[in-house]
Amino acid sequence: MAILRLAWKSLLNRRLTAGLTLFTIALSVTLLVGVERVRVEARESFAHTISGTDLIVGARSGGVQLLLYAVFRIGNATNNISWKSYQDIAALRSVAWSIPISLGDSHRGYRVMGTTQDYFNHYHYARDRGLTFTRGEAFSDLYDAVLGAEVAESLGYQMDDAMVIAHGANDVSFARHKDKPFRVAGILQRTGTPVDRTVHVSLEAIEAIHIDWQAGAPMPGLSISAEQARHRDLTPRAITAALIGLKSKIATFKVQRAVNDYAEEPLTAILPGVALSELWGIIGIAENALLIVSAFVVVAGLSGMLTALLTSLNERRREMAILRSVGARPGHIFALIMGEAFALTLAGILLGLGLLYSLLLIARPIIEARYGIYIELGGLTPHELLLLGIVLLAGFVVGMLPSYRAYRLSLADGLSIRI
Amino acid sequence: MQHDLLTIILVTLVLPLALTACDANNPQTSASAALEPSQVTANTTSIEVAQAQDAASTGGEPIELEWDALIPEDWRLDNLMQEYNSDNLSDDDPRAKQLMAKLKQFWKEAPVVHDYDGKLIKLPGFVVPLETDAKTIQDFLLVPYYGACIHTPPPPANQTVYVVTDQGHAYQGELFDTVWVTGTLRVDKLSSEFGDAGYRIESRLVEPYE
Repeated sequence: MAILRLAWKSLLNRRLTAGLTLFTIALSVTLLVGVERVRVEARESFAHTISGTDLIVGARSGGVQLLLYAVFRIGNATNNISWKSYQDIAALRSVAWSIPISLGDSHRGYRVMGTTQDYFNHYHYARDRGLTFTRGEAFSDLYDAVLGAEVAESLGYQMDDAMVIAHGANDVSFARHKDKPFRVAGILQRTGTPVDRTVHVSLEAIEAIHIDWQAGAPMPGLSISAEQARHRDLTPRAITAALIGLKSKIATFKVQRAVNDYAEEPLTAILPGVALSELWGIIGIAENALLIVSAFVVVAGLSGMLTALLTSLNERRREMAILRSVGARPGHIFALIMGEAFALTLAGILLGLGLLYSLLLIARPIIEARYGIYIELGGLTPHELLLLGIVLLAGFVVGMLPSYRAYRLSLADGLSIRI
Repeated sequence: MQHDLLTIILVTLVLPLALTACDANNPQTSASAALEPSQVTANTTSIEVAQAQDAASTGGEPIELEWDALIPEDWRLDNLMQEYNSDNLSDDDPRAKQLMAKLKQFWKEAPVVHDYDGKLIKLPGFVVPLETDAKTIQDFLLVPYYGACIHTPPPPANQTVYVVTDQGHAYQGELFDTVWVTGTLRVDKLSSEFGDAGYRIESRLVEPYE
């Protein structure tokens, strides 16, 4: 017991170097586990966003791009698909349900999506969870809007509030559809997907707010009031993409082929699972680079500890000698240094984890609001534990060199005076 | 696998440090020892589960199938080609047109074989993921050739198998991995433009093809 107290006091005496070593190890652990955590959580979040949808149909483009803009609202559509093409595809015998979506407008930085009632019935996420309403219900009137949880919360909207939709997908817009305000008809339950950050309106509403925008801007003297717009033909002319559910998964390839070969318009159909895999493939390269960097940082942290321990040996020659002279065996000295290395590593890991969790706690809402990636604050996964185990083991091994050197120092070495 | 990659990187970076300190302890062996047993046990348990269950249902080893076995005998293209003696057929031959029409019809109908319905089978193929999460693929389509669905016309309905994995036996892998799927084959009714029936496997074990 006494030796522990002595070790603690000795450590306190060197608190600056010990503290810095601890901090280096903590930072490297934070980085290592943080990179791993964000990697897994980002994938989880992406993979959870869409479920049960067999095909996504959009204008001809890359699979990953179509997936990103149609499902994650990242980036913009390459082109629209005509309403007729959509109806032809939706009418295929293999198709069980289809959800048209129309993007391009925004409300204070949140995307506005035109869709149909089917969206609320057929859209699924996280394996088999559907959309549910905390308040209100799906849009019934032309100028009704359904808000995602995040939109309602951060903009403080209540039921029946009025809101104006802006043209173009940006936070700041000077072209607003001011003459046609919407009413909040429903608010969705939080899902942890981009749905939370979306304002949903009907396809007809998208058509209605653009009815006097024929030339890409409001036509002077030609404005059509909200009431007048109701009586116009509001059949959508084009949509951005469509989510398709099939009666049987076996027909997936066939329907995909039928869409890709659709003669009247160049279209692309993708399997969400395949596009996600392709996305992992692209992201994987960057992930590997990050992992390698964080592994190097851990090694740098441990080398820092090695250096600190080795240099401290010189300072502690007298300390060791006194310990020996009062009866400590070489084995005790060995254990003392070993214990110090082990304790530093362990404390570094714990501090690093503390740092990581507090960082995640702070960054989580920001990441969610900006990128729509929902990070779970769960416990450590087996793989993270394995990583930490390796770090601890490495710390233990690194401690052996200074311990061995201290073990070999003779009693006389510390007591004789060197010039 | 990225996890393994990271482990290897960590180990190889730490190893020189460890060696400078002392060569008594070798982290590489301990790290790999920590990895392997879990994988091995995971595999053996699923094999045991599969065997225990198939012993109960069909009482034996799974039947190892080839993709041709899923196409009815009289539907096979080589037979048709032989029947029409396609090598000696010129393009203008009315029989050639007949053959072409028949081929298209065959392709479209894609009839299935009912012989293996409900049997425990083992089938190799490529994975095209449908339902995925961060690490595993729960549902996927199994196809007989790599790149199916992207470069070439897709395989007919009787050459595409919808694989549903058991709870807890989801496949850990990636797009177009080559695997053996062991499970119960079912023939599903399918009302589409592309055939009347299709195959589904309720899989208990998906393992890498070797």
